[in-house]
Amino acid sequence: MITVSRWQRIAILSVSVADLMIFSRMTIMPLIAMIVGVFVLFLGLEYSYRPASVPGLLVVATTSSASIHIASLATLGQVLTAIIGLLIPLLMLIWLALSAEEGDTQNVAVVRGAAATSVGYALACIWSVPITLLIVSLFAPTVAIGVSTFSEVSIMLVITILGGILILRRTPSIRRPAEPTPGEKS
Amino acid sequence: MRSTTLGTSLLSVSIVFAFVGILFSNISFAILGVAFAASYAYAHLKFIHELERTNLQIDRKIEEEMSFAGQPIAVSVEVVNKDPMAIRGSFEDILPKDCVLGDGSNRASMTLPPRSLLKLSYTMIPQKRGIHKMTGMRIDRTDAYGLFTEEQLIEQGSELSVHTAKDSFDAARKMAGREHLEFSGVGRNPAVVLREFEFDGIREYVPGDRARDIHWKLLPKLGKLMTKTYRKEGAVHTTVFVDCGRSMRLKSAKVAKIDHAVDLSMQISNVLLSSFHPVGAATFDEMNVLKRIRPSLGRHQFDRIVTLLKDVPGTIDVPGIPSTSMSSGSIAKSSSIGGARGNDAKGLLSALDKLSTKGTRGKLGIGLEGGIKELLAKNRGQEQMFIVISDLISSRNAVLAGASICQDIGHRMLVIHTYDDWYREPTELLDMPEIERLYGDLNDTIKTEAALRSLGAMYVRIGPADTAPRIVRAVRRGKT
Repeated sequence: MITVSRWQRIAILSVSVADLMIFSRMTIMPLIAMIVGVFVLFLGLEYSYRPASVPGLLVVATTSSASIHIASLATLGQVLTAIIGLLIPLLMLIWLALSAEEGDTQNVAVVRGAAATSVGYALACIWSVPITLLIVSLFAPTVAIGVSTFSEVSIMLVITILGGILILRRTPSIRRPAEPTPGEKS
Repeated sequence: MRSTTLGTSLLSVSIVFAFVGILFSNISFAILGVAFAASYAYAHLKFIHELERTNLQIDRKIEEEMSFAGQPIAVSVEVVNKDPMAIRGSFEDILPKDCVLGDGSNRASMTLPPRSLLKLSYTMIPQKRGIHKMTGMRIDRTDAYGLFTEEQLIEQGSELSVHTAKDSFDAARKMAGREHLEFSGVGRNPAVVLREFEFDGIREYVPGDRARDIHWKLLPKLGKLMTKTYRKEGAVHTTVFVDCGRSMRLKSAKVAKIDHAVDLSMQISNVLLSSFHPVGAATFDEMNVLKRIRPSLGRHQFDRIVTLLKDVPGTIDVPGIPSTSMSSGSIAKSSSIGGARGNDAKGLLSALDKLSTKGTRGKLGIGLEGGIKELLAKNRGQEQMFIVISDLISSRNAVLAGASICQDIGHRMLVIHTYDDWYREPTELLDMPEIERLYGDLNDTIKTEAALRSLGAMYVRIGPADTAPRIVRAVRRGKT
């Protein structure tokens, strides 16, 4: 378990936003939207108010996704752009926005095992496209060359859904209160 | 584990971005969907981790030494979070069944930081006598990101023994000065309050006899020493036996037989003690004598009896099931009454009845009979009085056997019969089968009464309206 202090969170926010800006090609309108989103997200973090930070996150995520153009995940450079330029900063921003909880002022705990599993899951989803194309190219090289963006997105989403189902199937082994019997008063 | 509104929204956003990615063939939006799905998965895994490593220390204290039904009981609970992670949610100390919340609150909605303390103070009011079990603490947990909720039970059980209502104690105290009840007989124990020595007879002198007991006037007539013998006249030792069998505990109306029996035994004991009568108490069920206090006149005897009666098992709420229908004599006729639970009870009582019938019963006897035998064996030569409060359903044969023993050895027994039909909720419409059943029950009871009287036992049939003073007066006037 790792604990992250308030200043470390602000640093993570700054780095993530800078990372998104570097990899994106923004016009003035998305840039304004991005700045507003980051400001709302920052306010939400400062005041530990999740209802503000989550809409800010959505604005930032949407504008950055619309600004970063990834044509295909078949090339290594595009995959790295997707991971470094979009996936990792977005994961950081989502975590920061959801951590903005009233009462939890200074430190936020990160569980290593859970973090490693979910980052691995996200990377597996991204890498699923080049790996699938690599396997397909071994048997049908012509098919692998002509794969459309639609197919790449579909492959990625199939892996996302399957991985998500596998992870969410886990349930905690805890004692739950017994259901009251019909005649029993609560 | 349930998803909150925020969790569902986050998942929906993820799905929406995935669809946008497919519709516009845009990989960036698909990656956005992946990022949200991965965050959702992280929150899920983290919450599981938090739930599984929960380490709470719950320390519950009942402030009252003696708890009474209908009286508030102060409870203080201290919860220490020994885990390095905060616990978010609503904490609720679960009240026992048949207890209601009085003042204060047994709930707190908060984030319990690591290694910190939560204190709850409240009062609860037990609705009935008996042993109440507090199971633990329920926590409606929320995860750190507000995406999931889960109900968790932290077990930290404690038992609370609740005595009968305080009014009954007041009645016992008031009765002690007003009512008198005595059973005279031959006593051996010097602790018995002696009135006087009564002349019993003359026998030949045995070395060791006291000189003052020698009948000197007979020496010139008979030419040998004769000794006068006396016997001690005093209050006999009395033991109040309370039937705690299943039939006594079944409660189908407002007053349960066992609760009435506890009140009566306490009040009668106090009346006897106030008359300098050595009294003990015992509880028994179909199989065993559960607890017993030897008859005594000590200063704290009443307290000891009260403590014993505090642990009498509580009632079992069975609406609409007449326990008479489970009586040994009428099991066959009542197959249509009761339902599944009634049938289970019938089965149990029928098995016990078979076990306790003569022939299959062991030499020591079970239930009351065994208890009486044991008591008599330990107090040879001491006349005993047994007051048995029972509904004569599951322990009928044991009571009859006990009465037979008393008749054989010269002891006395008073049976206070809590007549089951009088403890039932009166039905609005009496149909013919019901009338026949009532008649059958009454007939059986009269037969049992006749059997007890023929064995020399005194017998009183009571209902929920019969109070201890009325019973005491009836016994004193010989209307038994």
